[in-house]
Amino acid sequence: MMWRKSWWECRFRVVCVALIYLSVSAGALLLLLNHGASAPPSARLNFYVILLACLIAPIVTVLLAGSGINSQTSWGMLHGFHASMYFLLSLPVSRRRALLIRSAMGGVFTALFVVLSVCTISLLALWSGTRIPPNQVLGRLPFILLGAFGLFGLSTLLTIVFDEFWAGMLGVSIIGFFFGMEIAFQSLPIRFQPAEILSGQQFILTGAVGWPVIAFFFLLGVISMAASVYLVERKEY
Amino acid sequence: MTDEAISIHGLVKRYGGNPALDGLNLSVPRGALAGFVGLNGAGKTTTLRILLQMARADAGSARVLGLNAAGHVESLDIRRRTAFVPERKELFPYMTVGEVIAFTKSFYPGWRGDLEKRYLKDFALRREQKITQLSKGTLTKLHLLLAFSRGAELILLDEPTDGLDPLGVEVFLQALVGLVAEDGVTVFFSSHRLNEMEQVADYLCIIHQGRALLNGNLDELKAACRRVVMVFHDDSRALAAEFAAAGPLKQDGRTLTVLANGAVDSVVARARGLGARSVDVQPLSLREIFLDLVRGDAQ
Repeated sequence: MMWRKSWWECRFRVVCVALIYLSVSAGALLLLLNHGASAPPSARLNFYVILLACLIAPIVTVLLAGSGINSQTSWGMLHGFHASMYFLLSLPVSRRRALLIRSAMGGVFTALFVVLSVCTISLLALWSGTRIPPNQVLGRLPFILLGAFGLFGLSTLLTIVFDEFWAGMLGVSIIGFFFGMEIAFQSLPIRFQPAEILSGQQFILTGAVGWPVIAFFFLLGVISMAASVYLVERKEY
Repeated sequence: MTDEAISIHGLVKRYGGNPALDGLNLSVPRGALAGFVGLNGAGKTTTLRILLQMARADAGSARVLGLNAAGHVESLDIRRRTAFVPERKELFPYMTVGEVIAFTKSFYPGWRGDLEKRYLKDFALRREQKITQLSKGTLTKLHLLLAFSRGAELILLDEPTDGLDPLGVEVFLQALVGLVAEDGVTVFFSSHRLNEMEQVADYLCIIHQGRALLNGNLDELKAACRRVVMVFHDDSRALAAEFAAAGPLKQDGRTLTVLANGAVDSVVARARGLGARSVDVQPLSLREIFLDLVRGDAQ
């Protein structure tokens, strides 16, 4: 029943993310159809990839990371926590289990949308005249998922420390910072640019693997989730 | 197996330096229907939260059903054997009544389907009702159904009659008595409605400023606590010191009133010895005992 409860809390956010994903994809497709002819294919693809990564990755992770073990409302943000928490905490379920089930549910949908985003980018690339071999897409997908895991863990940690509203703001700000770094330090090798792993652009286009960035996101995810469990178990209500 | 359902020793809890509990000691025997009384901010809710590990004590110890309330694994076992109705009676807003019942039932193998049906009927709850559409009183009723049907050994209730209509209160009080008498359940409930508590409770804990003022059997407590009204020939101000140790005092002209706790006979004998014109021993309601104790402690 904890899984079902997690789904109930997650489902409206999944619908929100799906709507955002569809609208961004449709917008990118319309841009491609109307204004794409004049730009070179690589520039067009670059734009779509960044657009998808910038808009979808933060929203997906921040929205689907949930709110720790706090009960969530169907819509809107919570300040503090919903008082049904007292009821949940009186049940014989450990906080660790409650958090991990809720995170697993959000994580599955985050992964699903990441896969969908990668597929969309591949299709848009094909439309732009740049064919990405399927094995290259599949081979790099785990690295992109790892990047999303890092962000997801961070978002989970933020929702445990802050209100939903502030966690969302901070999550988006941190991801924006990563992309800002890429713009500010374009001379840096790709393997040191965090935004690359979020978009998966270079993995898909060139097959390059930025191991330092991968290690960073893996550690970010593991440490954030471990810290989340620790804080949730110690939190007082 | 310990005879105490709840055993608390020297419990201290501070919020930002302000003590919510200041060395609380209390015990509740198994099978008791125990009332937990105190003013707002006395520490009742904090105590209940510590018992279920929603909050942690800064010092002292608490045991529930013989298990350490501060232990992670033991706390899970406590919650498996305990039911709780919180002060803030919200439930998951995206569920229906039936879904909340099914959700809660899944954690308790000893779920009492017979009681679930009974309280659905008695509290006029419908399974298809959405939680967001329930009134405050109806939410309280649903919370009570969820607590009573768990098959718990111990039921902790924080202001359980909050928002209930008179019929709901009656069903609630009858349910409490039935659970204790028929199933041997221990009930520990906080309430400001002392007249209701007096109807059903057989054990009482009075808490004030984070400390227990009284903790014992309610009938014995009421038998021991008497108001002794003494009228003297002259102004009684000078005699007040003679009774200071007996309990909280009130002096008004020639009349001296003492709330005697357990030493009524000696107070009466002393008053007669001092030449009182009349000595009247009056029984006290729980409300009077509570107010006199709290006022006396404040002085």
